[in-house]
Amino acid sequence: MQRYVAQRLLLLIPVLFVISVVVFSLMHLIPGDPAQVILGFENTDPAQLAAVRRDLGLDRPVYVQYGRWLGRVLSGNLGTSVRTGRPIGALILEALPFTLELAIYAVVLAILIAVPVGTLAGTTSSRLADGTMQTLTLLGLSLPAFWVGAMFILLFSVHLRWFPVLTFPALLDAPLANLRGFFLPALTLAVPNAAAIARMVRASLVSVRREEYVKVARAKGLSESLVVRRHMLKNALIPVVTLIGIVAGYLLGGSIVVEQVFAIPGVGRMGLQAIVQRDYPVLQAVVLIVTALFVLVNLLVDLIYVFLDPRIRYA
Amino acid sequence: MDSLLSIRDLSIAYRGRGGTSQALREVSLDLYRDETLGLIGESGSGKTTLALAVLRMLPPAAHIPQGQILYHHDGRTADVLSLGAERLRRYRGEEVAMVFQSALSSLNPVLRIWDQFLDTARAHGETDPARVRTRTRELLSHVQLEPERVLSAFPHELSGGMRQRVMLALALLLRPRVVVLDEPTTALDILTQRTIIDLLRSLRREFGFSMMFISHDLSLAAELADRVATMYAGRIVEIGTTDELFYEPRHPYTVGLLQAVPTVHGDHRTLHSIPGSPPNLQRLPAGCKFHPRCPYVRPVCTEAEPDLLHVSNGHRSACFFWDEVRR
Repeated sequence: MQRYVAQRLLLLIPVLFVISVVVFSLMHLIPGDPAQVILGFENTDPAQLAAVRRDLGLDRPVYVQYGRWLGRVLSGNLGTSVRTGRPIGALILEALPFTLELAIYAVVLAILIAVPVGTLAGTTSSRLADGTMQTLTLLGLSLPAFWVGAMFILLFSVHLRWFPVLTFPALLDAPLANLRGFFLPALTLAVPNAAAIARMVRASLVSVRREEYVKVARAKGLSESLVVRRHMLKNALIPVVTLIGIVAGYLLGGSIVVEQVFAIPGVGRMGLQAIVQRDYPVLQAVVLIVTALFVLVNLLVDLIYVFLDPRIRYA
Repeated sequence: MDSLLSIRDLSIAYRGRGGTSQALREVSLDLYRDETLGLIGESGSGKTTLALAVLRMLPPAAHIPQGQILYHHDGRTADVLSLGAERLRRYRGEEVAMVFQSALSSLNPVLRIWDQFLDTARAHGETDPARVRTRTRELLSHVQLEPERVLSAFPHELSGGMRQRVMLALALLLRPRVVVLDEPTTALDILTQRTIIDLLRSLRREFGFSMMFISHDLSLAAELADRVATMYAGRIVEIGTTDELFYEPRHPYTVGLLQAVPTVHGDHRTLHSIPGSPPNLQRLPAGCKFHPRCPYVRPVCTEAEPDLLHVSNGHRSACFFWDEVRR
């Protein structure tokens, strides 16, 4: 077990290395000259451009630039925003809590919706119930988030006034107000993911349903709810955990659309602004953080797997 | 003799895409106290359908146009097909237990063996884990497993033979009076089969229960069974004591099954296979369902289907010409 964890952690090093190379190359592959961007396009003085390049180290060979950059990143220095001049680390620390909370909230909501719905669809013998569930989940998958989010605001905030609009107090100061404020954006994010997870729960249950040990569980005289919970779901949810991990990984990257619709100053919005403003160091840092989080979440899922499925223990 | 289970005129059909399959047609059968009844026949003869019906575990596509399954206990009789959900749940496991054929996939892969014993006992009202533990240990020792090692194991850590022995122990946990075994040795190698058969015999001596033993292998059935019933196309075509069926079969299908079995010792007879193939259950032939494959066929066989005719006391055959049938 400890060996397995150590192995997985060691494997993280090459993955993170490749990510750092890709993220670093990003800056050099984007058309346009960062020095020119910093100076502004009306300033074309070659001497000033050269000076800025020297300051940024852009006149050195690429591998030297990479080494320096990696050294800085590893010591926690992500550079400064070329737009605002503020340190990027601080910017990310401001934006990340919004995105983290939104992601976790959305994953929790998605699971709370998906598992019961998928279980119902996967265990019912009624074709109508199953078909209805299939149609609803397809709808959930197909509706675009910008529309769903806007409709939620219109219905729940503007008409029914159940939820406040665009107020996000800190979680620790006002937990209830915070959870209320984040409910609609989290639900908007949860809808398509809940639909995808519900479909997987259903499919997984349908294949488990035919297993011999499920028949045995019934033949032993277990109640139907015990058969479903203990013998079917326990097996069927194992592959679903992978999907939940992937979903969580994506959500941690921030949702550009939902953060934009609900005006949440999270990582997604920060990335979008960096693109629009050509603030490449910020963009680079955002991509780096988001990718690293994705990799870490998936590592976590793999470790959870070991506890869920005894067959892969020590594998 | 006391009958524990009485099956009366039971018919079961499966509705499928191509039409309705007659899986079981007017089967009547008794399982007596302390007896082992062997059910033999090819795939599709209705053996498994009959076994599943006894536990009312038929798939949703099955429907039962007629018949009864009666369970006799303490002078009372329960109609299994009309038991309420809760009573049916108690009946399964406590009164009638079942062992399925695929030993490898009968245990839940993510639960330890102990948990699978404990949840069974709990579902039937046993609240004291220590008592369950004692009973489980006793049963596991009986099937020649090391209780402590097995109980803390996950199924994948056990071999196929060990898993099937666990299943036997699990089936006996609640002291059922009937154990239905659906080809319990099919997934196992020949030596392990041997062990399971020997174990079944000793378990029955020790704990005293009746068995319904389903097999396509006549020689296995002959080793365990007191009586044997041959099934063909959803009906019982011959029934009698194991000796009678084995040495004096009076139905051409039983004879065919016997001739298709190689013997280890004894004379060098040629092996015969039964010509033709099992009938299409959606389009059964008229008359005796075996007539297209029967060496004794006469015109009457294509028109009328014989009932189970009296051969000798307890031995009956569904063949008009049973008197002529010889091994």
